[in-house]
Amino acid sequence: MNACGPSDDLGFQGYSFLNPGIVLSQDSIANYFIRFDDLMTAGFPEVEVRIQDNLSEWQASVCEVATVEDIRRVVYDSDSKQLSVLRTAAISKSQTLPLNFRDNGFAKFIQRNQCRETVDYLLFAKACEPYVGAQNPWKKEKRDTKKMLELIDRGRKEFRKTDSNYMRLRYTYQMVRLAHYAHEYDLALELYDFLIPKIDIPRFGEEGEEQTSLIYYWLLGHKAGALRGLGDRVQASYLYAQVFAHCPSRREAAFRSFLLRNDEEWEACLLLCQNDEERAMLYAIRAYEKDSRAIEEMQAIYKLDPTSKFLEMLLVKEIRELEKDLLGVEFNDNRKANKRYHRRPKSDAGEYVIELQDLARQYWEEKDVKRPKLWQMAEGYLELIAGDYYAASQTLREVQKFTTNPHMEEQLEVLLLAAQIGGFGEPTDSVETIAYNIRKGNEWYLKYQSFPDYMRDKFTAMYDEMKRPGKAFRCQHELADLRSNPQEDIILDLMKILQESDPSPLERLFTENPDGSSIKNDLHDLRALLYMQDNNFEAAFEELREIPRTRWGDYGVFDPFRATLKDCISCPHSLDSIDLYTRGAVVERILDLQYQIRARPDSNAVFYLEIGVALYNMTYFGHSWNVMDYYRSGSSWRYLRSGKEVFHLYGSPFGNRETFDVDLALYYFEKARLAAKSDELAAKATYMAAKCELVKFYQSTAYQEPPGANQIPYIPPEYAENYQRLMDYYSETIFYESLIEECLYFRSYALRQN
Amino acid sequence: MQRFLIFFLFLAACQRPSSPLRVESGFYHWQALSRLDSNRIEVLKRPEMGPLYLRLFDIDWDEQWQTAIPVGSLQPELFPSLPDLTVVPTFFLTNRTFRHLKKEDLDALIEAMLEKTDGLLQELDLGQIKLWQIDCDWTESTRQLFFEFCTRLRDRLQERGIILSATIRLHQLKYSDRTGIPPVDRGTLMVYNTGKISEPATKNSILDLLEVTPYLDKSDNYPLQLDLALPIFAWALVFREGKLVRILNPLPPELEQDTSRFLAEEDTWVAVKRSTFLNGYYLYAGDRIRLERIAESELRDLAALLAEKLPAADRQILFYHLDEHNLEAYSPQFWLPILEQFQTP
Repeated sequence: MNACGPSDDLGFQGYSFLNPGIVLSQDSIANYFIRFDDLMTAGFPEVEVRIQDNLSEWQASVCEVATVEDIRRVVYDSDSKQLSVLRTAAISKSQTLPLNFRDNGFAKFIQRNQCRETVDYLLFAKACEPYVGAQNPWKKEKRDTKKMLELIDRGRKEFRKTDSNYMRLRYTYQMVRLAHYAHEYDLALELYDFLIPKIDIPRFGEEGEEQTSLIYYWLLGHKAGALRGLGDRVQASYLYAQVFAHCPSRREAAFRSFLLRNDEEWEACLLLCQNDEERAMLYAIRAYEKDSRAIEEMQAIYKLDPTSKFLEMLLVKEIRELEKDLLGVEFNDNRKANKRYHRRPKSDAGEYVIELQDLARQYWEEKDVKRPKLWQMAEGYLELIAGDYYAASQTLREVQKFTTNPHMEEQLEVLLLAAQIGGFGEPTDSVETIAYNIRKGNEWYLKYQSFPDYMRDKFTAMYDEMKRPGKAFRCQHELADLRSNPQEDIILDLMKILQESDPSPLERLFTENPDGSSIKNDLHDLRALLYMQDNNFEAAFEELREIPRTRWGDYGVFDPFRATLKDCISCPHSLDSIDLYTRGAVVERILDLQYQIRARPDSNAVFYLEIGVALYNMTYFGHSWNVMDYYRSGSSWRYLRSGKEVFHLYGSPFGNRETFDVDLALYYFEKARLAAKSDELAAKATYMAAKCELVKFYQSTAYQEPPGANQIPYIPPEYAENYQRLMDYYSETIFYESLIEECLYFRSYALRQN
Repeated sequence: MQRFLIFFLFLAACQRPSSPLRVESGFYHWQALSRLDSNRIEVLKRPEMGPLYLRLFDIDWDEQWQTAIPVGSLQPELFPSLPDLTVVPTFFLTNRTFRHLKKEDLDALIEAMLEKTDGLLQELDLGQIKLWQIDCDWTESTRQLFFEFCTRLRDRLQERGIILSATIRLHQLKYSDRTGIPPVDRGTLMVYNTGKISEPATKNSILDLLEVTPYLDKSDNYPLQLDLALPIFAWALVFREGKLVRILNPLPPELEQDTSRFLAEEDTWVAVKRSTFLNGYYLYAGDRIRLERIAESELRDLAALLAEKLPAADRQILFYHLDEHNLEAYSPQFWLPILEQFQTP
């Protein structure tokens, strides 16, 4: 099972089963509408689109044999000197092409065909560049109006000399743009009105699908800018709407410039429209605004033209919004984060989805829209989004009966699958079998990326409802995610599945690791870990005995019985493999030592000490912490005084539990000291007890972090009883000498006392 | 407006000899395109008036340029000559600027700021500048770079005999151990925007006195001398399906006057009766709009609270912000008691 743990990513987490790419036609404006979210978050690379579209038009209008890259090198990357040489080459056969143009197909074409007008225009455009390009934002905008007006005069002359309609259009564009940027708005309008009638606006493309030159729309954008500069928002917005409708490379800019301040301006703008398509476009632009409630605009467009393409686009836009609000909201495991960080679902989403359902039903029933079946399908999907899976299935199946379009068929299959999964009532064996088969072989499940998460979340919610924590956990996680803080109820629930005589295929999946092996041993290992953390070694051993002894090594080897003066978490363990114990062997050894204590009461100090050493080393503070834990976080040290034992851990649903308790180890060291027959042994036990006291001090409120990282803290007397005992009773031992030499903390303590 | 002038004259006359505290009043001017009309200029030019904190431009990170750039520069041509006015150039820097900026870029940014500011001040024909203010809602992740910026900017300004002030948010005052103290010469505590603006249950996000009080607990220990910025603005917050979708600023008077389009509801809420354009934004029938403004009594209470909780000191009491609507919303008699609250040591 692919695990997908909780995410710290604060982005919206939900599902989507609508594929706008197959629902809508491959129209550039449709793409614009359905990419709404991306545009709002990432910005639109319109500058690059503009360059690409311009180069494509150069190719279509002037030289189809040249590559776009060759055209780019001449149009964008050359300077006026190179263009001047190119001009000479175009009119004189004796002039060769500049070196960097020798292998350039566009330059060769210009030379071969003596395209003087083209090069003259490029030279003019190059001269305009400094006055119309982006300027350093830190510098005060310096538009040299005098030079710009001179360039406009030059443009007029060039215009008159030019025969090519296309070059005339480009000259007009450059002149109007110069006038706009020079804030000579009246001049911009005058130029437009005077020159445009003298041009037969070129159109490009296949016969029957010709499109007006994009330069015309760029020009229109500058005319709109000039009108806006003069305060005529209505005319300007009308023109921006034209640009929005027909010119992808200026669409976003046109949308942002579209501004009508009041109802009167809106009505006036509608009056400027030549036909219903243009009126529909105005409504579509209004509905495109973020957070719009597009039903109102859809109704207006429907009245104008029920077959308008904008209706379907707005339908898709609204469905995508409602998907975020409501789809699977009852079982989405990220609903709290969505609510908190994205305010989803919106408070009125439940009402809005019904409104949109009603609208969709009305439109397909009236059959005036272009594709009534699409609207009927939308109604079904909206029922699904609203959580009425039965009604959704009925509606979608009804549409399916009459659908022959393969794209629509695919979309219907996807929605029906979503309705089926969403409509599962209880996770019975048969439901689990169906789910298993969907996971394994349903092509839509495998193709649409929302399905796995949707299925996981749905089953998690059902298992939670049925009080099956193990199954619920396994819907979302690998068993390894449990290691940092094992949960007994989950372990027991999964063990219950293992005991079933005839588990469903999904249940079998829950009890397998990604490599297909059984999780049985892992569960016993985790349960043993829980018992060990409770110091219940007998029960731990019983669990570990369920694992074949030959597999004990699968869970690591450790050397907790090795006593050390200093605690070093990252120091290498003993290289002598004889000292290494599996987890089972550690527990076995502890149990054996406990037996020895009872069996040999006269010489049991060494056994007490050995157990104490192991217990201490297996806590958070010892070098063998991993006997009783799978994950240790260095940062937990900072929270020792918090009283907490479980800490947040990325990717771990229950966090990370640390073993801070050293009380049992301390008990064994006390027993060892009291039972010791030699001062050396007693000194060792006393020192280990002192280590326990020290970590208890760190966990107490008495501890304050010293200001310097390397500073040894002052240890209050109540936490230094064993340090003092070492000084008072064991200062003559060899162990004491080595301690003074190696243990800075103790040496510091001893010096302070002296 | 005339009454307002009289008030300030009265204020100057009412300086009590027993009061050693010097309390100045002043305004923020925050709009780039607003024409500063002669009435407001006359108010600002009165000798007893304090400084005008004039926002010159914002600084924001620009993805296209991949650098910090100035945004929304003040248009000097909208301002008449102001040689006698004490002006504090003020800059808003977005936090994301410091998320993207690198330490090695700071000096270039400061030089660019200085150059652009010099140009603007020259065009504005102002008197000598003695103080700059920077406004940035820095966070723990940007603190280090922002503070480094402050240090370097302060050093550069010191060469010109100018001191540096920074705005301090309430949370930055209370949690100064975590957010740090910006390395500047003085601070201005912004005592507004206290509520959760996007929460429909919030009564008034501009100011809620109950929210302010807990933030002032540690003000005694704050090491910077603090001026105060108090709110005198009003705005309308548009909620659609429970979600804040637009801020209409300043508050459009139509919301309270045009009953054909808007319906007054309980508290300060207004419902949109029929879909309509308002100030270029399309409102849908059913949208709910929360009107937020500060009543005179609330501002008086705020002043009393601040005077009580903050240590007595010479300080500037600044009002955010100066435009024709905000000034006229308050009666001339209203201002004096507010300033007096801070004059008593």
